[in-house]
Amino acid sequence: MSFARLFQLWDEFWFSDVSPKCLAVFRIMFGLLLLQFALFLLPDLFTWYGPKAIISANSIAEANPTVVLDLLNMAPQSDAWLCAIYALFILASISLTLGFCSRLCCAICFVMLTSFYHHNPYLLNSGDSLMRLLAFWLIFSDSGAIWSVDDFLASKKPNYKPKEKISVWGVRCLQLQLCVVYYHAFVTKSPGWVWANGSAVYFASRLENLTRFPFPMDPNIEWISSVWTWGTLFIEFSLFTLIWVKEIRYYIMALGLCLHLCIDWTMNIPQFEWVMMATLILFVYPEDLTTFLNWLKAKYSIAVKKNLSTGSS
Amino acid sequence: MEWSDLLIDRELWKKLRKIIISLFVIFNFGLIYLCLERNNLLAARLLKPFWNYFLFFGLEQDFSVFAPSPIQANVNFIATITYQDGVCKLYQFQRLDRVNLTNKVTQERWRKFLDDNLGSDRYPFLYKDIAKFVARKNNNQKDNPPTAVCIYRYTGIVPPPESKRSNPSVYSIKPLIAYEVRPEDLK
Repeated sequence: MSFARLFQLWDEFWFSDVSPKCLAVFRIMFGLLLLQFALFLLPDLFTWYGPKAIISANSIAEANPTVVLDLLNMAPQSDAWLCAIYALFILASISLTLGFCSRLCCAICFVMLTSFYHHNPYLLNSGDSLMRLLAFWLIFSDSGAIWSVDDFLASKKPNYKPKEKISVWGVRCLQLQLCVVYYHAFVTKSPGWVWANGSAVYFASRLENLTRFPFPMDPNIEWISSVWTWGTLFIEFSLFTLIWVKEIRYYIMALGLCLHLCIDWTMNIPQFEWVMMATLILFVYPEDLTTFLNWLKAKYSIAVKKNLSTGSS
Repeated sequence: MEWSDLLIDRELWKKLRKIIISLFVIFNFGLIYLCLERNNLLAARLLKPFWNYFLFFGLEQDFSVFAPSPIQANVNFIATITYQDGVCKLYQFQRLDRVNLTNKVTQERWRKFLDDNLGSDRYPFLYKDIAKFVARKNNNQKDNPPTAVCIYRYTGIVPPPESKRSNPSVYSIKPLIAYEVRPEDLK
């Protein structure tokens, strides 16, 4: 392979144009997940981040002496300042969902998530970390190109041209970030003996504070635990490798959805699974999304017509 | 107006766009890879000059969920509060196995904080702050403030699958801290 061909492939991968539809759907779902994040934080907001928080800012600073981005520390600690930050986060999340000043709101959400993380890193899980990282990459994506207030306002101006294509590089960054998650989850599990002997899911299912609903198939039975355990490894491996193969992408995504729904059903790790599933939308081919949306639209209009005709008769 | 107009002339941006974006992507994903491999000495060495950039923006990442093995123990925490009059009271930290689904979801951060971090022995510097928090939270009797707080961790090891046993009801107990409360801790 020549360098010219390599450059061409690089150029195609990072700089081709794609429809902004999948990214717009992701923006809406991500914005809603950010709102959910804020909602889940609310009952213990002052316990975690207030001036009399469970862990004092001094202890955090002593443990992590590096200078970090933390808006909560940029003003004297007070309930009012925390409320202002929290309110700004909610406003930015709503605005991002609606697609109003999408990039700016995404940047605000990223700064807020980073501040919450740095202010008390001992309570956030991998899902929260992923949200922070996705917010970072979303800043560089044209997520408000369609189905957004930004687009609606632009359409009121003369010489308006709807954005039918956007540069793909921002979407690629988000896709790669998701692959990084699966890669690391897979690679770090591989030295674990319980993953090798098939009992990892058995042990995870016995963590009482983590369980939500019973497993659809009981992992106390040895062979079932092995199927769950090795199946998890296979799916995680596929989701950063085989997902790039066009012919089998949707099968791999379906397996990924099954995995995340199962984890969400059985284990109490709110948001993580939903963030992962929302990010998988970025792997849907835009033309398939269009077909699906048209089908949905047709179904909806048929239902409306039926309702109208039964109403008039 | 595009966002890039704020930083660079539009014509110049058109010329340099692909180079700048490529460098940005290679730089950041290269660092992410090094970050994931930071147990490797070479990777750690290469990452070192950029580590503060990563920390500042919170870009460091670790997705070792249930890895290399899931925790094989159930942990719970309690605290005893001794008041000035000598009376002792028990304080139960959040237990997600004893709450309804709504609280399970909204209190998940307690599980992360207690089970994964406080339960791991990696952060003993947190104990004093938690003891102060418990004292403040239980300072609700007139002229009878808490004078001491002790925090205990209960651990129950999950039996191996071949034993076919339920989780043990008897837990091993480890005192984490015995803290003498000062008046300023209650403010």
